[in-house]
Amino acid sequence: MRTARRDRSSPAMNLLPVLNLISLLIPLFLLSSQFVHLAVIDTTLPGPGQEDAALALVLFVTERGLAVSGADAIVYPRGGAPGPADPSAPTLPCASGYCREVSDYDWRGLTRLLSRIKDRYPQEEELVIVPDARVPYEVIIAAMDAARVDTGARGADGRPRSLFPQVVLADGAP
Amino acid sequence: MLRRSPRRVIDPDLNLTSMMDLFTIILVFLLKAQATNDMSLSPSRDLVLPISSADASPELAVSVVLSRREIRVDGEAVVGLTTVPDEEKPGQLLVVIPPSDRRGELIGPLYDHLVEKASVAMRIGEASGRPEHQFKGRILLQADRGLPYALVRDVMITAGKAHFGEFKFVVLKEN
Repeated sequence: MRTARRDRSSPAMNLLPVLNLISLLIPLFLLSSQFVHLAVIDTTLPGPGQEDAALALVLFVTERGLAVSGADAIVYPRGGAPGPADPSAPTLPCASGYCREVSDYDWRGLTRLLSRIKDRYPQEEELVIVPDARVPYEVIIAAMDAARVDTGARGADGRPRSLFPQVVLADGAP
Repeated sequence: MLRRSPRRVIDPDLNLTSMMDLFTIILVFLLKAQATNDMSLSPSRDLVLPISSADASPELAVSVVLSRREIRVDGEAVVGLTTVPDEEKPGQLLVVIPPSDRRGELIGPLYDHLVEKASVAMRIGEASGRPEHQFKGRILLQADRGLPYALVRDVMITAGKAHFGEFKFVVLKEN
């Protein structure tokens, strides 16, 4: 008896359902994938219940530069009596006397100054930023960045040293 | 018996192997790159966010978008903005709130809108009783990088008066 020869070749896999599934999943993932990564910065308005920190560190952001004021002489690197700073005489003036772009400000100088202040007051974490009314928003963000961490130094945990991460935005000059 | 040679039927068989390879690799890549956040926040098209070194992730909150043309709360346009010549700097333009929308130091329509959102959120929090549903007064603020601080400050003051005291500025993460 002749046994019928079995067709040994396995049937071709029907890939159409799998392809169907994949062609649905790929557009779904493409639409929901993130090509732009967003982050957030916490900030608050000055509240009535805030204690006055011993240092009362204030950063004035004007179009002529950055002025830092605090209750300690270390804030004034070139000397000068501690007390309310005169924003018209910036601690870190702009290179040409007038800052047009974000990059015109001396952010590294600010980070260095804040790092020295942090050495003196390691427990202080709050900084009040008082921008002028016309200062662009990105300058304020850059000020927060410069005040948040010192990328040149390492903290106790090996990460970039945290300076003044808590920022309070106060009402600036009109 | 006539033996007819079997007619060759050319079966157009689409060779899908290479396409399957491609799709599988793309799928694996996208699966790996899929980031799951508790909220999907896409930056608005008519503004440019500032770049920052911050790395905290966005959380669920009321979204306020401040572009050069309008203020939107959770996608809904609330206040239109106007561009006027800067009196102090001739030749430059300043984005301001129309005087008709001002109510003292507040932005009228924005305040009304936020107060309503706050009251709804507070009622939900009270009804639910669970800590994660309590009203936290959080706002995610997306603002164009070139807007003057005065505008951002007015929005923050208005939101502060409407019980939204916690602000999170949305920024582009720098590489």
